[in-house]
Amino acid sequence: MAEFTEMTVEAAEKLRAEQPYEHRIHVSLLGKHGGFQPVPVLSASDFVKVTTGLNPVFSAEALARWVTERLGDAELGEAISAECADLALFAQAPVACALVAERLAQAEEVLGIAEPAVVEA
Amino acid sequence: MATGGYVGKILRLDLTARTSSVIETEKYVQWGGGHGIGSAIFWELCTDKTVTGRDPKNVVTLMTSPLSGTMAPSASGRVEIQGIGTAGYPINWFTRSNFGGRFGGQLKYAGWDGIVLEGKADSPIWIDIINDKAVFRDAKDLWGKDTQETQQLIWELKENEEHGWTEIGKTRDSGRTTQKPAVITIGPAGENQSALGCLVHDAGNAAGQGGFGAVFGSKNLKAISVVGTGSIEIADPAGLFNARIWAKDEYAAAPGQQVEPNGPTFGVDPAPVFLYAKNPDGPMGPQACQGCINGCRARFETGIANESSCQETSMYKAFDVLAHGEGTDASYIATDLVQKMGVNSYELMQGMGYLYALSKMGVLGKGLEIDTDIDMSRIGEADFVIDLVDKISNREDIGEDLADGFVRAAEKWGRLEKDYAAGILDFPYWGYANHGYDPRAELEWGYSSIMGDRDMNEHGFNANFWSVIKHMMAGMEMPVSAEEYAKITTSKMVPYQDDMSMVDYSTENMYSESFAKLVVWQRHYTRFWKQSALYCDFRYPDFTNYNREDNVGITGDGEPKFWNVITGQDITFLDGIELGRKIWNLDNAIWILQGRHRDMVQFASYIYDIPLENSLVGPYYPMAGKVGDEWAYINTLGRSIDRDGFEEWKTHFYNLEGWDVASGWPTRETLEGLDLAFVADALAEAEKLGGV
Amino acid sequence: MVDKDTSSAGEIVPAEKTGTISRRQFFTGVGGLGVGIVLGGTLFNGLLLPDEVIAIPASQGYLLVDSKKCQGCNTCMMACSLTHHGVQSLSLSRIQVIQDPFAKFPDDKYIAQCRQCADPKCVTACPTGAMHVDTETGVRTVDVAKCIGCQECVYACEFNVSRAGWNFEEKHAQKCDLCLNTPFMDAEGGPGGQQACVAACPTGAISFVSEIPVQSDAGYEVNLRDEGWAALGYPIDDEGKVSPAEAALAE
Repeated sequence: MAEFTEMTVEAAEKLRAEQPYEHRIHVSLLGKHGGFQPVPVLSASDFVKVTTGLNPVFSAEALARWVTERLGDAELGEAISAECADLALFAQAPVACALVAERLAQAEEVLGIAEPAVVEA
Repeated sequence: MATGGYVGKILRLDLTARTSSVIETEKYVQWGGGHGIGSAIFWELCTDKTVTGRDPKNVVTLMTSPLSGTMAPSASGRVEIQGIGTAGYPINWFTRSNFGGRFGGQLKYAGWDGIVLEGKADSPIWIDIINDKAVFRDAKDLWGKDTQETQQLIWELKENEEHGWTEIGKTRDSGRTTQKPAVITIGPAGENQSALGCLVHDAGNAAGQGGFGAVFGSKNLKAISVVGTGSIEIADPAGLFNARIWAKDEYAAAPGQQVEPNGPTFGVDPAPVFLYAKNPDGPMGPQACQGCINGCRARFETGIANESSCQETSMYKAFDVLAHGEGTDASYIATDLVQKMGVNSYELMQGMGYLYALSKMGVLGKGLEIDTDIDMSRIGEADFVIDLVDKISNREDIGEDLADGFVRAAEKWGRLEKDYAAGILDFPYWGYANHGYDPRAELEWGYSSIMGDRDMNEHGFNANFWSVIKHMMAGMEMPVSAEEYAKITTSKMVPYQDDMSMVDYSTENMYSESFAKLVVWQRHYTRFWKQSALYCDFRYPDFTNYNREDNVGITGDGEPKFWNVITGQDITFLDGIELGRKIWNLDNAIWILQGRHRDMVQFASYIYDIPLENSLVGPYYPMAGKVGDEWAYINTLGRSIDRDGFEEWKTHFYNLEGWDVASGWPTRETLEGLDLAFVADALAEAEKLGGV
Repeated sequence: MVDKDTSSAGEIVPAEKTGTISRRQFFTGVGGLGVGIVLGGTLFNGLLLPDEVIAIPASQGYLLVDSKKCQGCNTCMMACSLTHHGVQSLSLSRIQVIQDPFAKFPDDKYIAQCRQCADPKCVTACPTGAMHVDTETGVRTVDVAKCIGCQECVYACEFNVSRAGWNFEEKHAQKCDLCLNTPFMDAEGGPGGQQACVAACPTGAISFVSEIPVQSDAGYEVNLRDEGWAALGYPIDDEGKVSPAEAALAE
């Protein structure tokens, strides 16, 4: 469980915003025999959706950069970098997913939108 | 002349006149089989090679090999189809596709080595081949039906059973069979001449690429059915049986054996190759093409998407997951749909990615710049793909724009250059969809495709990529180091066997002569051993085989062994590769007459301008390569193809082929050295002979 | 791994256990085709009917198939025609695999191999003795020289796809002889030797046994699927209805 600082309304909106297509990131779903089409991810909620219960691979570095530059959340970006740095490629998804989901839930609470996506420990 | 394996006759069908005649196979035996014979026949019979794919003057061949219908392992089930396609961009190249199953065997048992289709019927027909008789039948009751309905209707016609055996003809001795007719058919997409239409046989065998569905549709040809009750002579029957047991014992996975993960090669187990986000996990049983050493698909308790595996199962994966957060039935429905409707799932897969991008960019949608009634917000749901396939099949809505493929649609929409530049139209070569093995990372895939006419779909060197990825996923160490892989693999690549740099995928080596040798070798090997002899791409070449203690695969020994024991010939592995070179030269001559020149051999712009940062397997794309003097499995992401570097590489390629470097056209010397003087003459007459 | 389900043996008892059985007892449980009998046991040497004096020796070998393990590649059919006739043909194969690509597993395949019946109707039907029981091996096979082409054997086979076939190229009846006469197979065939289809089958879906197998109208099947097979993702229960994923959940 990461210790995130409070979010402003602006920051929460920025985090939740769907990115223009040219600013997508990709995650790749693999199975025993592989897979072909990387999934184009345009938002934080998209990312949580495709990493919950699935174990796609992606560049943690690219994800951290995307979160910082596009979603405007340097804190989340840092947390991702820090926690995924030493993880094997195939172990990153659950960690990154939990971080993004937590921050997203925080954002949604700030905006009074929905129940938190992640239950507080 | 040894004749084992061949059955001696090729069925020539004039669809315009609705007549049939016989071509003696003997005339073409020098071309081997499959693609070789197809190209040779096309060369002769298609007098104007500049016609487009839908022109009645287009000549289409379906060709087996001497191995079809025999016990040659994973070389018995495939059929090569050739002709001018409707897919190639900017030119409808003379192209090839291929399908598995049991059609090839039945055709041979019927007494035919292949079929030639010329002209155009004046109304929808299907061809009913029963042994030596071919009848043109009215297809009015089949036209409009999907591929399953069509086949079932044809099977119903054949029920004339006597105690489980269907008698052919009227006498006790005219032949009998328990087998259903083998049918190849188009669905509505092909009938409406959409280039996204393909040919389907049984539940899951398809000739997808090249747009042959539209070619059949343009000829008013719905389907070809064949029933064969005859037999194929084998030069050394006991030798063939022994060879099959040898291959099984020495190289194949034993039933239930836990095999070391590998790419699609000879030694893998018969677990179905599923690429769904959520693979079917209900009851199922294995299913394989005729004669396969271990199959790659299954049939299910649900009966949905029977015989579907690999690519078509990954087609809808990304959007299914984006919509639902997991894989759902929508993927199975989508896969089943394209089989039934006969639609090219590769085009559709990358094409949907393009449509998604356009919709997100606010360009495609109701009332938008590219107007469509399709609800793009439903992408990932079953109803979306049903709607899209329906519109493609009927050439309605954007289906009309897509009737010549996604690249020409982009051109129609005035977006081709800009969408290529942005990298959102992922069709890197000749208008064909990216296979996922991106030219910037897996170099030989892109090079082979661009030096040919289509996405090459040849997994020989890609198999090792998958082997490395699977070991990574399992946390296992590779059984062969990169250097060992390079050694084993290149030792089989005669006549270039002393150059290990052929499989060095490092950036330093990517434009080298060695790397050109790799692609030259691959063109020749696949043209004969895979596309003419018809060894299946999913099992051959078998470079590294982990069932063996020395990890050395069956390639080099296996291919000529079965060829010789069946035909009675005595060719070497290298002989086959040389014949492949001859066939490759003939193909290039055809392309040159269609307008090919070195200057047009270029990838789409993004391959040069945008480094590939992310692959289908994430941030990593391992291939063998050298780092300094050491071999390793290197990450080939992060680069693009350099334009000048590619020109250097092309020059190496043309030099190795003995073709004029300025034009890419074969020289008379090279052609005459291959007994292709008549080709040199034709090119000279067209003022397209290399070096003149 | 042969499924020796004797739970439905019921009233039927092999001859040598109780002496003889009546003709009525023999036909008890007749299904549609008249073979509603379940046989089994290791000491079954032959069928002896009390009101018949003809004793038919049992075959010393039988082919069992696991259609759920079959991959439908027809390699067995090609092996059969190749080793017997030196050619590749599905029509000349004495084992037939019949498929429906669109059907639901496990009903997508039906395998028709000769059962080397205890009471071989094809033998009884033959007017010339061409279709006979080989005295040494018990294999039911055709003496080609005596075959007159009447096809009575083909009609007489009690199964929906006749296991006795008509070889329309060589003009004689033929059937599975357990590779007793395979001029194009180097290894010795027959019950004491190798069977081409067994040797060639890629998935190991055919087994050879020496003891008369348990059988009924419904089938002549065996479960040859083991844990290794389950690891490939395929069901290993007899009916093929419980996938490995479902089995794991149940545990």
